[in-house]
Amino acid sequence: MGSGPESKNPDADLVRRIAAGDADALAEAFELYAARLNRIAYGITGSISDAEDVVQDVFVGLPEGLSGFEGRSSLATWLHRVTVRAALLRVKTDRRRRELLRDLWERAATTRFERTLSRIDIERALNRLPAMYRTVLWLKDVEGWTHEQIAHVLGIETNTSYQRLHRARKLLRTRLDGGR
Amino acid sequence: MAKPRLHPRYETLSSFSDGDLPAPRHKRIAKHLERCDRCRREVGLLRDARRAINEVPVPSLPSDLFDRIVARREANIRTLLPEEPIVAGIGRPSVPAGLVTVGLVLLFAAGALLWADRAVGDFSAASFESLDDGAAVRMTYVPSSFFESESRVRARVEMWTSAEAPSRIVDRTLSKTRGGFAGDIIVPDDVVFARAAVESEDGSRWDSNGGRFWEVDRGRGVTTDVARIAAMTASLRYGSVEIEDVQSAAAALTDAYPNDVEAWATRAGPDLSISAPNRDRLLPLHEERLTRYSLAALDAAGVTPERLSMLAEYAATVRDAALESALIERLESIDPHHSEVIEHRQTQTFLKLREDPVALLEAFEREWLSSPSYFVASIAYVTASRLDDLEATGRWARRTYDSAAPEDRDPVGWDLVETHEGLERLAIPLIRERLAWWGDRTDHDRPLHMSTSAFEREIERTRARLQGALGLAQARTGETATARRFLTASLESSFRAETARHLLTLLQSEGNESDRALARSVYARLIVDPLSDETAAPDAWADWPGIPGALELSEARSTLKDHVRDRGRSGIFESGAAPTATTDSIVVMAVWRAVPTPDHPVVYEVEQAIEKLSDAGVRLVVAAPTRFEDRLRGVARQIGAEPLPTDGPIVQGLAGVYRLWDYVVARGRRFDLTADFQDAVRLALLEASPQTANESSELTG
Repeated sequence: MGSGPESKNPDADLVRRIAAGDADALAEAFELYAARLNRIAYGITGSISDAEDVVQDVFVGLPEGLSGFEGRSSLATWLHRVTVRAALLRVKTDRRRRELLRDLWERAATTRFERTLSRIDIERALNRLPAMYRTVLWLKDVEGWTHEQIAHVLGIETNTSYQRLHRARKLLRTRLDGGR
Repeated sequence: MAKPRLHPRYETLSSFSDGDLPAPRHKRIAKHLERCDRCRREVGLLRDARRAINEVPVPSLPSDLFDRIVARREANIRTLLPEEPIVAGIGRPSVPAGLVTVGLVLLFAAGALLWADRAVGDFSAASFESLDDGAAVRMTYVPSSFFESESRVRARVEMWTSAEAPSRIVDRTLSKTRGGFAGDIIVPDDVVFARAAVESEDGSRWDSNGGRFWEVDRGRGVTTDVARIAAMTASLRYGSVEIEDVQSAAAALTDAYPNDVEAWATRAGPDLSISAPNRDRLLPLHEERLTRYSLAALDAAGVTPERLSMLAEYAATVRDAALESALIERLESIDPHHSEVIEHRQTQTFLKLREDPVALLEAFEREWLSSPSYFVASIAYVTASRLDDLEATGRWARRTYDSAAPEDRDPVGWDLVETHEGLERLAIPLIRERLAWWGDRTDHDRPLHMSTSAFEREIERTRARLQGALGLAQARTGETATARRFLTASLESSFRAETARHLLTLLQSEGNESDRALARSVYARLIVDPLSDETAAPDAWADWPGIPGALELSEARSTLKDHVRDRGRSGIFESGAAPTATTDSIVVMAVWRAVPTPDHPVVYEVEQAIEKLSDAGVRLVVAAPTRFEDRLRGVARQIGAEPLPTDGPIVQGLAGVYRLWDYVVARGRRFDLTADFQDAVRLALLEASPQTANESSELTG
């Protein structure tokens, strides 16, 4: 990772081309990063369509957005950061109807089908965690970020990141226990 | 046996399981675990949970996502990316007048594209000023460089008189003024909400403010911001916003608009910060205040049902039940029949009954009788379908359809179309109705967020989809001739693998001799993607006599696949992506590129494969690096395409096609062309295949 303005960032060429509006370069970045960004966005939003929207928004805005990229981190890191934030914002969109539906579905499903897949339980419990917790949990456990990285991206104290992680795990556990 | 009485805290065990503890402490805990079953079990559970989370499947992105991104960019849609931690840009000392901050806050609550602060850069802006006579609002639009050359632009304003009534769109010309465009818009008194987009006079380019549009607020911008800050405040408990940020935001707002917000902004929580030692005790107290002050802010904002409704929805999103109830209560006092009030009440009713599906369905019926709405219908439909109550599912599907906005009515996605005869009988007339409806659309019906050409494409795509669905439904009801006609029509305007498979299945069951040429052509296009691991057609079809030479075609495909793949060119196409005329054309370029020298034995095999696929109707563009010039001419002759001249613009054209191929490799999708190459490539494509050139020009707009 570059340490000063004069150090050559390996992404510099790609970044320059994307920022200049080169569609090939945007495609290249999409190929390299979209799947990864999708996973992050999905982890945070818990919704396929929201994750898709986030990835779409990130790439639609990328050429202009890169003017804020100063080359102090890799392009990947920068994109991860932007995606996390975009996903967090997305979480706040209208959701009551979806939640009600999910709630009704779950009940309907419980009465008719046996709940055998613990993975589904996990997904549900994850989806019900407030985004602030789910985000930290996902970035830590799935993406393997350090608390320092998480804190930096979310703009919070490292300690807060620790606290949210522990709280998330506690909540998850409570919900899994309660859900059975 | 003495058990250890002091256990590490949960937080410590959690960090331990992450390996995040300093070495000495880690050792201490490890030692404790050796002796303590309870803590060992806890750490085991932590690890199990982590493993389980990692096994949560992440759905892959749809294969056409990049196309949609390119289409949005071509339509001049831009998003602003949140580069700073959310709302942390607030209160930066260099911000001149709080304007950036206010913009940020305003975006924050908008719920759609919420990104932050760009005071400079090539972005447009619009503002509104109420004129003295009441109904007129002056709109001033400052364009990005995009519209600079225009002498006039058109504002399209969509207005609502209530949430239930359909909106109407009025156009208004904005004339060039110093620094932008301006014009007066008449917003009648009964309009409760209006939003605007701007477009060039010919409708070909437009600016929708990144999909957010501009709210026509009759010049009360400040109070809108206050309402939105209230929403932001309410979001505190949701967590992704830090309390300090809200404090900064409130302070910045106070600076900018001291008269409007001082009363509440200064109270937004100076007594609380993240690091306050007695935070736990203060927090509940503070939350109560937040609810109160959020409502106070609303008062300052000038309460309208729409704003209340927006905030109530927002409160529901952030799961702030107290604030939501308070907002709904207030909304009810203004407008007891507001849809948000009704939905809230219905939600409560349904949730109470959720454990009794039969009672739940009865409740849906009752609610429908008293206040029919899309909300009730859609939830009831899903519930009935989930309970496998076919009769109720059909009924609610119809009601969902009828209560949706005209442009959203869509009978295709219904689960039961595949399984329920009755619904097929329901679906077919409705799909026909939709086909006719879409066929009647004119530019006048164009929604605010679409350019003229985008709307035309939308109509075409939708009709192709409906034709495919109708074909399928007709096939299932035994109307095979009609089914065949619609499936073929659908494939002609937009080739979809799923539709192609349905058509082939239909032809297979009919076994009609005269269908063989059609079957062969559809089959060839279906399997042509050479890099997909699976063909889009069942293996068994290769042996099916209804497709003449199917096996041969299948082998040709394998040849292409092997040769291209062997040279590390995988990833050109997404697995399972539907081939299109343009992906067909890529095949040849990919193969030619993969071949090392003109006299390599692979070239012959490839030529044979190309010829077979071309015979079967796969539209191929023959293009290659110049070192394959002679071969290229040979193949072009074989498949009936004119040889491409090598001088003048065509050389450029070939280079363009060649570069295009690089582009396709890079992004693994259908191409579109950069402006530099667009004309030259189109010319080259035209030489090879007029049909493909037409499609290419569609893609490149």
